[in-house]
Amino acid sequence: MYTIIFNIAMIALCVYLFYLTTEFRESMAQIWPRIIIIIIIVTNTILLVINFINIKGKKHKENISINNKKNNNVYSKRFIVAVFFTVLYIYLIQYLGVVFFTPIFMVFFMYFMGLRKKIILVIVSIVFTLFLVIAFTKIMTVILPRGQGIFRVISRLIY
Amino acid sequence: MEKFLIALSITIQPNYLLIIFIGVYSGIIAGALPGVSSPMALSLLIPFTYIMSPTMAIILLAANYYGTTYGGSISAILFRAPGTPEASCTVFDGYPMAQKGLAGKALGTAIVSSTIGGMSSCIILALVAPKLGIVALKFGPPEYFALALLGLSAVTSAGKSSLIEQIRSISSMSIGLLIAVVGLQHTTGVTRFTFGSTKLLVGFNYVPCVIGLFAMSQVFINAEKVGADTLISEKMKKVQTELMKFRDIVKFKWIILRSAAIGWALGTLPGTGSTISAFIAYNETVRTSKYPEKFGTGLQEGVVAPETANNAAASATFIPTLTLGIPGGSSTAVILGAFLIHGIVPGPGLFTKNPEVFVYPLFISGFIANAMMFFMGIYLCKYIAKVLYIRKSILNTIILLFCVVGSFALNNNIFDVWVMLIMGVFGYILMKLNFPLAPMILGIILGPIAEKAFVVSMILSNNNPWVFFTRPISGPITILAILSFLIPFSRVLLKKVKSN
Repeated sequence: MYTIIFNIAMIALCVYLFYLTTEFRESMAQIWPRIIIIIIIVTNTILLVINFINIKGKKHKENISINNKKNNNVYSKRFIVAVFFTVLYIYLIQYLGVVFFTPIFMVFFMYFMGLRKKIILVIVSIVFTLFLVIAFTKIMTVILPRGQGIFRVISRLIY
Repeated sequence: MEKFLIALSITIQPNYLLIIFIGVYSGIIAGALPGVSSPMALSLLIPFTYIMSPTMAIILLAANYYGTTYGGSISAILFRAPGTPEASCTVFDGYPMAQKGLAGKALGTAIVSSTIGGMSSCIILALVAPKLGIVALKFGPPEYFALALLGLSAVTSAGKSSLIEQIRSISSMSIGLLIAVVGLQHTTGVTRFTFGSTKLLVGFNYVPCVIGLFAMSQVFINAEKVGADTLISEKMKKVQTELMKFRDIVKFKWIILRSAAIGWALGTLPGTGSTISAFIAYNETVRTSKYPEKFGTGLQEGVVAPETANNAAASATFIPTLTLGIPGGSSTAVILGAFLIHGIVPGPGLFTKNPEVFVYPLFISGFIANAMMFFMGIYLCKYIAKVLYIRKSILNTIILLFCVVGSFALNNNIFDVWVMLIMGVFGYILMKLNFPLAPMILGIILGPIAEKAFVVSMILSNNNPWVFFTRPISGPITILAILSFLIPFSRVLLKKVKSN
């Protein structure tokens, strides 16, 4: 079922992108993306037909992980939580800075991933953040996000 | 011979040996870190070369380049996060080998293959460098397109035993090619699929895409699993580097020879570099194998081929750089910058006027660097692999942070991090739907090369598509590429017809 939705979504997206190629003013800019888009549409159409036939005939079961507490201990909703955490981290380091926010994020994410020992959570978060900051800012001279306001001031004391 | 001996006496001085050691060591560490690319590592070293002589400076950078080319395979095998684009191909069989508890064997295979590829390349190139530079001039856009097509044809070769898998691979590759289209087209200057965003004008950088698709998606897959906070895998926890035995080297001699030759040949072409060599070598190994459907499941030869080729190409990329002043890849582009800083003018004159001062020491030091890399690789893998003893909750968090910070470090731009995340989510979805990720990476990396060569070929030939078939070099390569696409397909179709 999910593969059928994916195939339809890819076909629809590619049809839209094909329409966009008509707006490219140079023909040389159109050829290559059009060839690729046609290949994607053709392959996804074939896959759609095959998947449809398989579902109708119940011949082939897709090996898709779903919420299956009994068999695999796999929870797809945890993926959404992991993405949410990551989005939050990427968004907030711009305002809170790597130095301040990374240890906080690490504590929450490691707890989410299953680590329960509080002392290890704290020590690993602090030590790794220090390692990250030193490795990237001092050794590789890459300026990591400092944050804004007071967080920027604190970060500037370090790098 | 006299000039060679003079060069040897220069290169084996203790200060030069120390410089080679530092170059290789820092290169392996940098290469093993996802997000730290070879050009970045080289750029960081350039300021340190200001106080050195030109010969010493270039030897340091070359040693670092060899180190990063090999170092990328360590994280590719252990963490499914290639440290450098050259190691993207090593993930296909290297990581599955690690998952089966053969991480040590995969690492040992990578070290030996890299050393053989690198050393053989230094020897061959010292003998034929000037002549190869002239041959490289004969390659035009149709030849580059044919090579890119040959590299892309790997998608149907590797590990696909059913028709649906073949079609998924082509679809995945095409999505990668489409991702590579975004941005300003180099030939016409037309902006494509940018939706008015200035950030998308330069398109998607392939490094965040690779990190997202391979590493970030795996973090999301691991995040789904609930249970005891154990090691990443019980099978992976004991990693002792197991070098390739001599009998394995003999068993894979033709793969090693062919991959090294591909590396030597393709590395001499301006603009190709180690990455495309690795993919083509892998593709050829799959195509000529008796069991192509097993590739991608953890075959030793799936590590031998790309690692031999990418290190062979690493030395060979100095040929166009030295003879023509045209960088062989992005890393040699940085090294070319160092040449200019130190007042070295590339050209055929480097080989004819006093080669013992510069050219011969470069090749001799390359040989020594590859030997040092061999011993250092064995030593360092043991320590890098110790991270597998860390609990998965900690390791996954650390990998996630490296993905974020590594993507940011490229251009100091948070946009690359968002790209990495989106690719991670997309990679997760594709893995769930049984679409392979490797063809997509292939499309992203080879897409720009293929398109540029295709468009320029069409312009030069007045839109005549037969140009790819009628030239003496591009013709056979194009036909081979098409056959590479079609033969696995027809094999699968024939199997299906027979079974029906």
